[in-house]
Amino acid sequence: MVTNQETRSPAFAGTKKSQALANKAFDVLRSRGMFMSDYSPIRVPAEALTAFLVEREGAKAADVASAIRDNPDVFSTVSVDGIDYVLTTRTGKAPVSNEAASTHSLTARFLTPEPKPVRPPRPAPVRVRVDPNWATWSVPEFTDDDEDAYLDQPDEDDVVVIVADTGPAPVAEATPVPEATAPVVSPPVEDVVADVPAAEPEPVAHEVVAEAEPEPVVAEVEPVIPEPEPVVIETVESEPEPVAAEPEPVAAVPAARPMIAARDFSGFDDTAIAAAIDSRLADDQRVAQFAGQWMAEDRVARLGRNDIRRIKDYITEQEQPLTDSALAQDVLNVRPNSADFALIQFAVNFRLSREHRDFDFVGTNDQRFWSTSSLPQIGTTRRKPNEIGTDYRYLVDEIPAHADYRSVESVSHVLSFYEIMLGLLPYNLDMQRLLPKPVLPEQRSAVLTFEIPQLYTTYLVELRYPTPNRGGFLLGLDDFYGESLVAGAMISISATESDGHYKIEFLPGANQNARLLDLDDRRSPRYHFRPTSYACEVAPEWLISEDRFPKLGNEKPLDDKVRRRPDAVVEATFERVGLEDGSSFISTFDELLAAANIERPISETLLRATLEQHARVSSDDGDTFTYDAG
Amino acid sequence: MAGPGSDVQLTDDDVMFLLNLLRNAPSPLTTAQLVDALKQRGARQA
Repeated sequence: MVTNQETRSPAFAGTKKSQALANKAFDVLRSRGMFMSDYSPIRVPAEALTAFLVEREGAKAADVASAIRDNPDVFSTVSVDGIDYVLTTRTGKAPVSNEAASTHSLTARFLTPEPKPVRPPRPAPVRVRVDPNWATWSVPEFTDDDEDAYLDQPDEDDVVVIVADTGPAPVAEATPVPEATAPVVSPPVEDVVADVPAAEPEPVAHEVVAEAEPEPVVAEVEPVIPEPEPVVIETVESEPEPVAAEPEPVAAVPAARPMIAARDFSGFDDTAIAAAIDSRLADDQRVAQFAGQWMAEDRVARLGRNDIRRIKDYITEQEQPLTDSALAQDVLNVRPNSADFALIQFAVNFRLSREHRDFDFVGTNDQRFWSTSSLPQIGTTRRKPNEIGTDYRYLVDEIPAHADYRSVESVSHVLSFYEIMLGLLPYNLDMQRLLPKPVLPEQRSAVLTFEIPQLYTTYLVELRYPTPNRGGFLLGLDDFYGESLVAGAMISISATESDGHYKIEFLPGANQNARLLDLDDRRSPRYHFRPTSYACEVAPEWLISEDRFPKLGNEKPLDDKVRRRPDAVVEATFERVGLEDGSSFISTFDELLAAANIERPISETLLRATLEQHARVSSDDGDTFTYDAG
Repeated sequence: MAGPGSDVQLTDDDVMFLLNLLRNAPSPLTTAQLVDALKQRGARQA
């Protein structure tokens, strides 16, 4: 259906004549804009419109102008460049300008920015004063009487010795006069003239030099003058002992604080001097010491209970030991480039070392880690650290008491099944030569960082130092072993410049697949062989594969009571991996070593000693052993 | 030179010297630094 658009003429105002003319004018304009949109302005010069209507309708120009003027709702007029135009729209409404009503626009704002407002000067902000009770740390003022007395002393270059002569001998015989008047050039020493009445035969007056001590020298000398005997005060330079080589009547009365010349330590070994410093200053309350560093105790920043609690909470929150540097930065808000940073680090170490109940030092000289008792243990939870230490008890006998710590650059090691399962390394002689000694005498463990460059990973490893009845070991590598290594993998541990940071590398190899031993300890612990893919080089004698030891599959781990006894473990190992010959089992040393290390750590030395001492084990060549189980 | 086993005893003045040194040090001093300070002090006196 086609519908013609209806056009409505607007209602015009004015007289009828005016309305008619306005209608004609509107028709003219609408015909001119018949293809325009409803709201587009239709513009015709007023002069042309008037001329048209005058010519066609016979209207007067004034009437046309009046008709347009009387209908402002329909027509609007505009003058452009001196020409008047009449405007309307197809809807019969005077066009409305599309320009924004406001004179403001974004463009205008950018082009004509307003001048910067002049702000009145702001009053100085009132700084919030921190209550002294919340202050993080404070350095007390030095009001030590000992120090003041020490600073008041004269230089060691000058020694003043007062010698009182009570004997009847004349002064000239007692001491030579030139010595008594020797000048003293020390700044703290000022001249004091002591006129002493001389005894017969002739009076002797000496100008003596004495220290400007609170007590005048004369006052000290007075008690030793029972008679009008001469008193000789002499100065002696740099002599440790006062010159008292006078006859019996001469009694040496030292000044209030005589300075003894500094001792010459050049003849002593540094170690001896260091030991002397340790023994003398270690118990001195005026001195703070931590890990070979010394400081005056009153210069060590004090940590309040609030600081101690925040440090403890922060370590607990981070769930791992943190270094003194991290604590100083994160808890005490001291920047590393601050001039006080070393002082605060020392303060953290010294103050926390006094908090025995809450904090444990587990660091090294270069990485000073602090731990709390609430932190979970680093490494495996399959076995308690004490049990592992008991397993490694044999290392206590194999390691000399005084090994050279940090004397080697790197150590190579082949991982056993026991080490793989628990993610550990033994603290054997090689490792002791590689790793640092305990920083503190009572230190039981140290947290080290082990970086694996091949995996771009760094692990926190806890070194448990040996005790008299437990061996040492390193825990915390279970994730690394589980992801990348198998029993028999060859690794190398290298030292770095920091005594707390080490690098581990393994020998990468082609991808290999084998059925290797694994321990399923979910409910009833049991060994089983599992298809395993690995990409590292292995020592074949340490590989626990189904091909080598098929009888190990489905075996249960030995009872703890059996495990503790190496001879019982050896017997069980013979039965598990040995070639059965009646009631006897035959196995090689390498097989026994690899298989015995499934249950517990056994070194070559321990295994060989166990085999030699076992009554029912025999060997002809030292490599193949026979166990008579009957 | 006296060996490591030599018995060295610090006097009160040595202790006061070290204490003064520690109080004026901008940062903690190591044992080796204290040993050097004692030696240098003795050498200066000589």
